[in-house]
Amino acid sequence: MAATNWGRYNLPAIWTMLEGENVCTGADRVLAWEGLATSVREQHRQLIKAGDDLAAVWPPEQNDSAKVFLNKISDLASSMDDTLSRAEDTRVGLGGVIEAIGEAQSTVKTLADGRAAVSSDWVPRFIDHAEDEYDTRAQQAMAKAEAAIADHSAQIQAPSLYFIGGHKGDESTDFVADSGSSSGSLGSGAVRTTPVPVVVPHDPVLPDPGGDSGAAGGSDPGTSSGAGSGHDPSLGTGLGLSGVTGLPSAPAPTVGPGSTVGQPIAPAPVAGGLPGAVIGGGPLGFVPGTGTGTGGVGGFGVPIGRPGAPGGRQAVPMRRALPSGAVIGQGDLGAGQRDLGAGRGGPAGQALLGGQGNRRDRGTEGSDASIGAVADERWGTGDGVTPVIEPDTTVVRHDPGPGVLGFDR
Amino acid sequence: MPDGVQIDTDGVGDVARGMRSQADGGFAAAANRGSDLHRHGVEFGSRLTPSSVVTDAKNRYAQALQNTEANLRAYQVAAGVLADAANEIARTFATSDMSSAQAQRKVQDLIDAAIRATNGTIGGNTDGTVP
Repeated sequence: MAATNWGRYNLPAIWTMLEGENVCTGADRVLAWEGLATSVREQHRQLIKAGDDLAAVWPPEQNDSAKVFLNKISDLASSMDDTLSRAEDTRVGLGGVIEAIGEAQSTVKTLADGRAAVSSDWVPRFIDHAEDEYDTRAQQAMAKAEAAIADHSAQIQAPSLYFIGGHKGDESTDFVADSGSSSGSLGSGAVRTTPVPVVVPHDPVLPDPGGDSGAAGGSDPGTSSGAGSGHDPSLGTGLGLSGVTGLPSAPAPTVGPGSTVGQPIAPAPVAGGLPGAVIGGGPLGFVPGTGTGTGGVGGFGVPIGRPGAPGGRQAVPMRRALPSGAVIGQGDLGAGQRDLGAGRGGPAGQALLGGQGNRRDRGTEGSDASIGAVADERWGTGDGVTPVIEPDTTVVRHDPGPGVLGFDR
Repeated sequence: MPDGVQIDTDGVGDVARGMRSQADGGFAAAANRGSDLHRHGVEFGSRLTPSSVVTDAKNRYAQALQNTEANLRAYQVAAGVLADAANEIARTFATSDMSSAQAQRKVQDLIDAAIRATNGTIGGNTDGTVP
């Protein structure tokens, strides 16, 4: 039986598989099997004693009729012995399986707590890879548990089904090997019980590869290729809240039609991004978009120079913020900052933001119409009149005055 | 005592009563234990679906549960059948003289009758299966 490729699952996914396991309940079932075996053993002993007592008062050596009856008792005793042996083996096997699962659960629980701590720190996973170590250790714990389960599950065996038949049945084949054999040939001179099917729980954390969510007997989904297809990205195979493990990453966050991240501010050929370097222009060095000529002070992961806003979305008139290090009124900030400084054609320092001083003159620039809002208007002034206050041209002598020691001596 | 049959019918009667007591007591208790275990079903590995090893363990355990429970029910029924048959043998052989061959057929007939009676009592199907 192929071992599972636990490397496909990260620790959160593995923990989700294990957290519902109840070791105490499993231990109770082990004890129940022990009690059942004890009970069957006692009844088996009583039946053997009854057969001996019957043989004493109805000796089979002298009575063929006694052999017929004692054979029925012997058949029943043999089946009980088989069921008893299988019950004891099943008890041991179940105990081993429960122990292996419990050990894995305990180990993974500890790892999950540790991983949660490093997942919530300030260092992202793609920098320190702290979560990866926990994932690896969880995967190793699962591989170990699985090997133990494989060993112990071999001890779990079903007994052959028993029936008691009359003389129409074959005396040598009273035991049927499986539950699927037809009982019609037994006729009415037999009693057998019908096994009641037991539902095997199958509650996948992740969808089975290939979309088969039924019982997973047979194929090993863990060994198939194409990891990640159709899997819940939050658990084990995709971009999860706490990261992924060596799997094809989900597509980078893109800006959808309804998203406001990185939305251009106007449908201009030179599309802008978010105003200023509010997002992405910070000290971490993400793409600030200054001086590129393509506009776009894009946020993280936003392509530069994206087309304009989709139809239906209205550009919001906004003033551009200065990039980091820019000087108010200084004009030469590069071609990409055409709204600023000399790029507008105005003299440096002429206005608060440089080239906005003669915005009225550019009122016909269609692409900048939305930018020339009231708040940016600068009204022109007239040439003025001849000054009526003339400066005083009298020559004034300034001296310390008389009686000052050291002067005029 | 018939020529071909050496039997202590009183002793057989005692054994029959003892077996009936077992069928109604110890065998019934064992059947109840099996039923309890069967009712709980498979209680491990429900979400460990990626592992074919765990799936195999669950399938094996489910098979063990259903066959064990079915057998324990069958044992109780069989013990009752044998007890009834033994009781009839004791009663019949105490009052009849039979040859060995006749006794052998009679025993088988009594067992068959007990089985049929059991089927009628517990509602067994026509194919002999007991629900």
